[in-house]
Amino acid sequence: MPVTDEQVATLHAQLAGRREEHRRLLGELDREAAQTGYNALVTAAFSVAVVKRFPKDTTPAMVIEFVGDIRSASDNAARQDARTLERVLLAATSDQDISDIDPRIRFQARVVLLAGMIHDLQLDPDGLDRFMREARTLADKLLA
Amino acid sequence: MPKKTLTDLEVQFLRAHVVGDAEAAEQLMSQQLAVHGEADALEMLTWIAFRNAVRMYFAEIGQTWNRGEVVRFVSQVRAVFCSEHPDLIDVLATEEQICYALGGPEPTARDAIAMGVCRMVMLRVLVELMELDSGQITDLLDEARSAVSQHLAGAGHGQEPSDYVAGEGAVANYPMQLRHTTR
Amino acid sequence: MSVTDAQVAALRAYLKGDFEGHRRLLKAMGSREGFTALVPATFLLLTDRRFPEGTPIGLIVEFVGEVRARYFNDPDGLDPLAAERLLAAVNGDDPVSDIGPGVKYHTQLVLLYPIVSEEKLSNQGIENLLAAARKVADEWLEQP
Repeated sequence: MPVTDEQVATLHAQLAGRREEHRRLLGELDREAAQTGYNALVTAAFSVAVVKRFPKDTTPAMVIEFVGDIRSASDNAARQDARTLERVLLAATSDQDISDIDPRIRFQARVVLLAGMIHDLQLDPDGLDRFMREARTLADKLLA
Repeated sequence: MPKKTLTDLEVQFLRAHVVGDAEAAEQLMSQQLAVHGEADALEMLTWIAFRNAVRMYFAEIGQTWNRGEVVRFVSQVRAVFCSEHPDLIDVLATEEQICYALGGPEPTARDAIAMGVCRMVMLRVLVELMELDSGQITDLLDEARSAVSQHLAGAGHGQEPSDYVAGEGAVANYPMQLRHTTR
Repeated sequence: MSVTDAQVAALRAYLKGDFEGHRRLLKAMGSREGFTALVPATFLLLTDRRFPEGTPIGLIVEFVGEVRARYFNDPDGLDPLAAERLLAAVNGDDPVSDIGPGVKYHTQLVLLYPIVSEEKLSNQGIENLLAAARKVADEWLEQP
């Protein structure tokens, strides 16, 4: 079953910084469909963002600094585990194995990293729309 | 409880570590353990030297600190000094201890060894970042040594008001709120 | 039972930073009961002056941080959480009943000197404070 419009709208709201709307839409999502659809969308969006934000020669040092920037943003952000975030990102930019990290934690880490990357990419509304379309296309492929 | 003292060997050990002489550090620690059987005062020496170095560094760069700045600082340090060994220091423990050194809340209880490692690593990093010369390193360690010795001897003076509280005897439960008190 | 002149003298010495004098007078004191009532009484009045009703907790937290940094070589000399709570309790609602009487007393006592220093109380100011605190302590000591 492909990604739904509601799932796209939910993630879009989060990445556009519309927290209330995101929370509301997240609550309204069909639970069962979200398990696969929403997860696939986030994973796909994460992959697309990594390619845009992190060039081929990304070093561990750059990843460490990026995670530091995310975690310095607020007290809540500071509570995120630095090493988990670094490892999940490094798994996407290099060949790091993260099979020992619980899938739910991996998912949460990707959400946090995704928000950070989108923030850095400074997309305007059109740019974010294009990004979401790319992510959706990739997610549908993953679900097919 | 037996009285602890801070030895020359412990101070020399910390100095060797701080200047990056791992071999000398190892030898000095072996000597300390062979002669004294323990290095208990080292923890406090390291803490005070670390704390003072942190304050010195943040004062030097004119930084009014907040948690976010400390997080960023630690990530920059790890990016530069630890990218090959990202698990060398516990990130949260390091952040908490730096905040604590700057007057922030007490760190949540965690592995004493992990905390010790953070302090030792960060102390070395800070000394390098501030480009302290031999004389300045001596000053830093002397100050820490003095504070530790004072504390261990149980004879604080000057700005240590807690040292002057000589046993209170029976202490009743008096009101803690002003509104419960007639004036 | 009421606070004696000797006990006031002992606290006066402490507030003025004459720690040797304070120790001497404390030793010569005999019964401490009046003194142990004078300390919390002084703490209430002094704290009300420094942190009147409505003071945001952030200012208290900041103050405790500065006091620990400036007045203590050994960071264990002052329990920051107890200090913050006791200061905030003066014009607040926290009954602080879970903090042991010994810790309360010790924390209040060690905070007195830094607060007096920060408030830059003159000799007359210290006299006024001690006189008012003595009245409060005497009332407490009268009660069965």
